[in-house]
Amino acid sequence: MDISCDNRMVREMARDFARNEIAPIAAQMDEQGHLDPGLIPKMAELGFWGIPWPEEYSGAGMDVMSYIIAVEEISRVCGSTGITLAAHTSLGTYPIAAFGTEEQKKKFLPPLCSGEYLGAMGLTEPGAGSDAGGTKTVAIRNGSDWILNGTKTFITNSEYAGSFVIAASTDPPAKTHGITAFIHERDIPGFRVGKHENKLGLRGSSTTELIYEDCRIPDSQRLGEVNKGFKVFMKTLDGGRISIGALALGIAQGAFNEALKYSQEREQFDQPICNFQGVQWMLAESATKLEAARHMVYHAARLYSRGESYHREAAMAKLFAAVAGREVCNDALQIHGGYGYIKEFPVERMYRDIKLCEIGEGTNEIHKMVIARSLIKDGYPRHDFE
Amino acid sequence: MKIAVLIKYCPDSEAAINVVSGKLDTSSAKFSVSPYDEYACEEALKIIESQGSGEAVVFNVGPEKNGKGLRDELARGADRAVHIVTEKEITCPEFTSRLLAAALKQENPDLILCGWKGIDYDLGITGTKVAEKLGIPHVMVVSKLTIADGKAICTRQVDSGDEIIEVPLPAVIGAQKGLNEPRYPSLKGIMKAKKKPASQITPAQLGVEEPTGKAMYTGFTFPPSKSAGKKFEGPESVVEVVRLLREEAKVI
Repeated sequence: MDISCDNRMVREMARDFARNEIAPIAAQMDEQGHLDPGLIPKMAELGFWGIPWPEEYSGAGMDVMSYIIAVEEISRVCGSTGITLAAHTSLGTYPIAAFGTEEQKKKFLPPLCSGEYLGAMGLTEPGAGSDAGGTKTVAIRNGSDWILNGTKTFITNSEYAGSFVIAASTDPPAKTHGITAFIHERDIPGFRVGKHENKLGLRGSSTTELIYEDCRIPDSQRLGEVNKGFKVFMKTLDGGRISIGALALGIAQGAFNEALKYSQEREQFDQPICNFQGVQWMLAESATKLEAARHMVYHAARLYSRGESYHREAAMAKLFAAVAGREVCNDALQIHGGYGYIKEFPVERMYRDIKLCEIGEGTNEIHKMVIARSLIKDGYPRHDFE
Repeated sequence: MKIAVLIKYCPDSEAAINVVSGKLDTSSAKFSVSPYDEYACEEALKIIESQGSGEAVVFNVGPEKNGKGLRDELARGADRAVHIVTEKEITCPEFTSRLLAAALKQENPDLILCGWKGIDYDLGITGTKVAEKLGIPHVMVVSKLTIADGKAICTRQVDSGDEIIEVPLPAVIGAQKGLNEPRYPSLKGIMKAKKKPASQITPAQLGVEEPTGKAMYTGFTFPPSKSAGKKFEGPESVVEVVRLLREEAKVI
């Protein structure tokens, strides 16, 4: 596939790093339910936490494609590390880089990019998942500060995060038109990280509640205009979708690699099982789905890099990669037979990990709504209307 | 301290190599810097870091595509690259070492590091030949290196222990596995590599011609495939195993 020399070097480095440093501990991180404490600093040394952000903020100054390739490569061996990188970059850092004031960028981007701490974003609430307009966390103006009360749920990276971008309602009756975005540090009075969720997959990644009880945030840490926060979060999710597409692509590619190798080693009826048409069809269909998913994810990343609209393409890429990826992981486990069902083989973990891709950062169903709305508004395909 | 690092860009250790009518076909192989040369480059970077200053210059002989290998080492931290560009891959170590020696004479490095062998042809001779042409000492298969007072103190592991060898600088040192653990190129390093100076030079510019009357590769074949092993079970099979070892394998 057409990628630049930088992209190729990032792929090789990320693949070597993933294989040597992450793959050997991936099963253990899944089992224990947290990342290895040494992994975040190791990735920081190589610059993984700031790939697409400018060098003046301690980023690597690379294109979005390099970042997407890094997520894909790491997710091949460990979805938990992959989603940690994706959520940190696309959710925890992007909104500050895209919507922050110069002062906010100078304060938060260098520690985020250098991996001094990770970033998290809080939009989802116990009663506001797909319907972000139902946000119940409120922020009330108090002099030069805002007082926040409410609870966020299913927040990725919160146990590793030093900064949080969160949504609060500043005008509840206005629903989506009354949401404002704020940034805050970890150690502030009235804020705490709630219970660690015990998940089906991506168990090494951190998912918790965030609890705000009369939590005071200065107005200087408001991100964007008052009551204009909904747009901040929707733009953030557009980019986040490309990274979840890359996560799905990586996990599924990892499972496929295991299945292809196993099918050539495993013998039944005196021959390797890859000789059987039933297995061959699963392999052929899986590789074709991966090929299509990769084209879609890379296409969305290229549109993003070129500064073109990527809203619909990102949603399509994420939806397709998640569904196809789940099917690929299912077939990969099937090819392993009974061995795929036990934890000695990594496909068992990958099968659990991939499911999140159909739910996180927008369910499949929400993605179809996003895509359909864009079709009705702008027509399809785009070039017919240009 | 100026350190020259000689690198070879060859098929990756996991690459599938085909033989087509007696010739090697590497067209579908992934290429990378030979691992022993990565130890050499890492050692150069470590020496410069410990001394606080210096320059690591990476050298390669070969076709245009080898520039990727040089750029990989620039991304790891080398300062500058010199690419001696040839039309085809050079498989004659005499030619390679003449080219390298000519280029090194222009640079006058204080130390020359290389892998003790390339992982493609496994000859292990280029570093030694370069040293000979420059009239300087060489130590190959080095697994520990200390630079002090214009000398290199090298450790070579042999079956019964270690050999410690001291040579005055400049010298050519051939890296063995265990010398260090090569670093990954960082993402910032990958970006910086683009801006680092990389010069290209041709054999004609160096005034070096291809040697004649040299040994040449005339063919390649794969070893015959192994026949399936035999499996024996239980103590009652001992008599049969002994008989076969004596009569078939003829080893006892």
